[in-house]
Amino acid sequence: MTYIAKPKLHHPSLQPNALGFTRRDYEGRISTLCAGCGHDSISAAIVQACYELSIEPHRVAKMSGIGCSSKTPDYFLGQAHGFNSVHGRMPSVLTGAAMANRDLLYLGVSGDGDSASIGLGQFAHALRRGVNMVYICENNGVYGLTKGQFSATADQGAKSKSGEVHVDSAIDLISMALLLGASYVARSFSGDKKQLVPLIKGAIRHKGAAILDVISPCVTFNNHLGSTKSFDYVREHDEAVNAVDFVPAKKEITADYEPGTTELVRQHDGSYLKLSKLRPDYDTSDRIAALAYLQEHQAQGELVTGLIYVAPEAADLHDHLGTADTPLNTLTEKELCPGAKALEVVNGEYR
Amino acid sequence: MSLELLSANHGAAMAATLAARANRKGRGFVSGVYPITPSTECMEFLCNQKIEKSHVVRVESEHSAMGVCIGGAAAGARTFTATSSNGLAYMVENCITAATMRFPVVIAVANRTLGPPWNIWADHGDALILRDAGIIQFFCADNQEVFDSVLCGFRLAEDKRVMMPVMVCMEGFILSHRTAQTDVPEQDKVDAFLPPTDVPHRLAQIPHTLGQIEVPHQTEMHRMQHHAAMLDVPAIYREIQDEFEKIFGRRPPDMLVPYKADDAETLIVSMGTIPITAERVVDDLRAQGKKVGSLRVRLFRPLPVEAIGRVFAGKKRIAVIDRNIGLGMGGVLWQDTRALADPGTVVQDYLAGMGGGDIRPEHIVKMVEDIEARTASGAPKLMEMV
Repeated sequence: MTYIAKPKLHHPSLQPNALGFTRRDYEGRISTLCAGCGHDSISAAIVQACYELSIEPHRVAKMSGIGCSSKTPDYFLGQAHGFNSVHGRMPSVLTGAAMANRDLLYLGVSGDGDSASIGLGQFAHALRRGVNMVYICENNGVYGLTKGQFSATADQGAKSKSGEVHVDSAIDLISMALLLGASYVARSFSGDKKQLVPLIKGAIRHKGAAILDVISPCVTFNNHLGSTKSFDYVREHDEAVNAVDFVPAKKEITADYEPGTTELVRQHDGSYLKLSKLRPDYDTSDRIAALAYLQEHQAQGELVTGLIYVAPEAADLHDHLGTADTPLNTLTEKELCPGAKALEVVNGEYR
Repeated sequence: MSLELLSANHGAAMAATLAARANRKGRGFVSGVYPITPSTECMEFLCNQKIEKSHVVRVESEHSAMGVCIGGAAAGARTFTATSSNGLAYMVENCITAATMRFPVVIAVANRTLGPPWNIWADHGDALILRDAGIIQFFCADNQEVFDSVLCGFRLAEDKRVMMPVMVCMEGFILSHRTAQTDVPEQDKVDAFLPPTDVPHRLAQIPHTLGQIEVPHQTEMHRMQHHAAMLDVPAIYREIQDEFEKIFGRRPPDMLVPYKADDAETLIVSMGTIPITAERVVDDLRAQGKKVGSLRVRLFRPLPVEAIGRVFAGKKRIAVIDRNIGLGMGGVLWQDTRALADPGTVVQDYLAGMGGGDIRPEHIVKMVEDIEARTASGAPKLMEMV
């Protein structure tokens, strides 16, 4: 939380997007995180993605829990709505908001402590239900806000700053998301903006539960030798399965499409994910194979990144529940009580 | 005894460590811990101690931290945890379980404002949500008191006539992070003060089940047993003070600490660190010829109503300071104590320092001036901390 607003200056060279907003209009207040924090890079990637997609900031609800990650919504999309909920409980609050107003873009921002430790239950159930959201877990393997205790995503054998070796098994949120039925599953690295921005854009345009696990080194408590979430370690072990290029719905695809090495995934809204296959054998549409691939490569010490799995036409919670297209909070009495003639039609269906 | 410079968080953890070691001849020590500001340093300190027959489990939430303590106590171990604010709020379900299942868990609470909106500074409102849960609550005024209360807390919680959790409260940052000289006794003296933990209903040789369903009359019986045990706490605490004094050569503070209260016409009643400031104000106002006194309520649950009533007797004015608010009613200390005053006494509630605002001597002077101008009790009044 910061009380320091960025000065309202717009450099003339800043290019406006389709809405007339510049990148600056998607920023928030000045970050109070440690200098060099990976989370600030993720905030910058969110800003970039929303700017490039010409998202109307007031159509976005930033939802978060507790932790360094959950402070970041203050640092991007200053003109969007925000809700800082309690520790590990953001997914249920987001679910309720999404049920009452399906028109907003729900951007859940959480961390490994918030999602994998105290909030694992809520994380799992929001994905299982297919809540229409973009869920970004800013994963650094430690509780930064309470000074660097291991979180549940810390790898077994990883060393803390004080030299302590972590003994518990790590929770892999991406493997869990695959098991739980998330329909857009990606992992990235805060230090790889080129990979991260299109993954966020794809998630925003995805219908259903989209989860991005972003390894985001904690420069103060988990960026040392022996850590498996440090900048150096992640750079050395990052094994991307694909390079993603996001193509908006109305844009004609004229890019160098090479069958066999490039895959096009058409999403529900007509946008495309153009995937350059870095691993020829990798198939983003095969959930079980993706899970096996993750496990095999993790066992070899590799950190698999990229678009891990996508089901572009998956049903979301609104589909499961058959909710009205009009948001619940704007339905009027006229729509709820359409009159005797409409009732006749309904009754007629049962005769 | 050795004098050590310890923060109150570290003092609580040091006392828990000594108590844990004292149970090496018993069934060991188990603690579940989870960090939260401003109580984190307590669990950190505990995690760094070498304690034989002990496991400090770093769990994933406060709820589980208390769960580990409950399980540990059910197996007969000595148990301790520490938390704050929303951590305690999240722990509530299991705190109630520990209480209703009569497990002697000691809980150190670094009092912090409940959120959201988020605020990390001191407020008594977190501990007070467990006011009616069957947990003994001490509110401490200084580092030594936190240390002593944790030691006495184990003795009290584990007394067979009591057998329930004890919460030791210290205001976040004001106490939790303040470093002060603390008298730390030798292990053999702690061993003598704290006999091995014996939870009579622990899961032991004769198989039985804890926590089954019960019918209304059984619930009534259990609640009344628990209530009766709580009412016995003041007398048992006095015994423990005597024992403590015999072993350690100094007496831990009383459950109520009156200060120049005997002949006072105006009495200031408060908890935590506030009374320390109030006592200074009493000295200042006495020097001006005003008959002012203070009453520090250290044991808030069970509330020693008879003893408070005796201090209240004959007072013209009673100013209660609440670093909390029972929304829709008023300050919790005021709610609980106003009926103990004589008819006709002006009892006025002053809401002060909520959300961690400093309560300085001039604020308390203003309260005294305000109550002296009153002829009748009024609604709770917010003292603005400017």
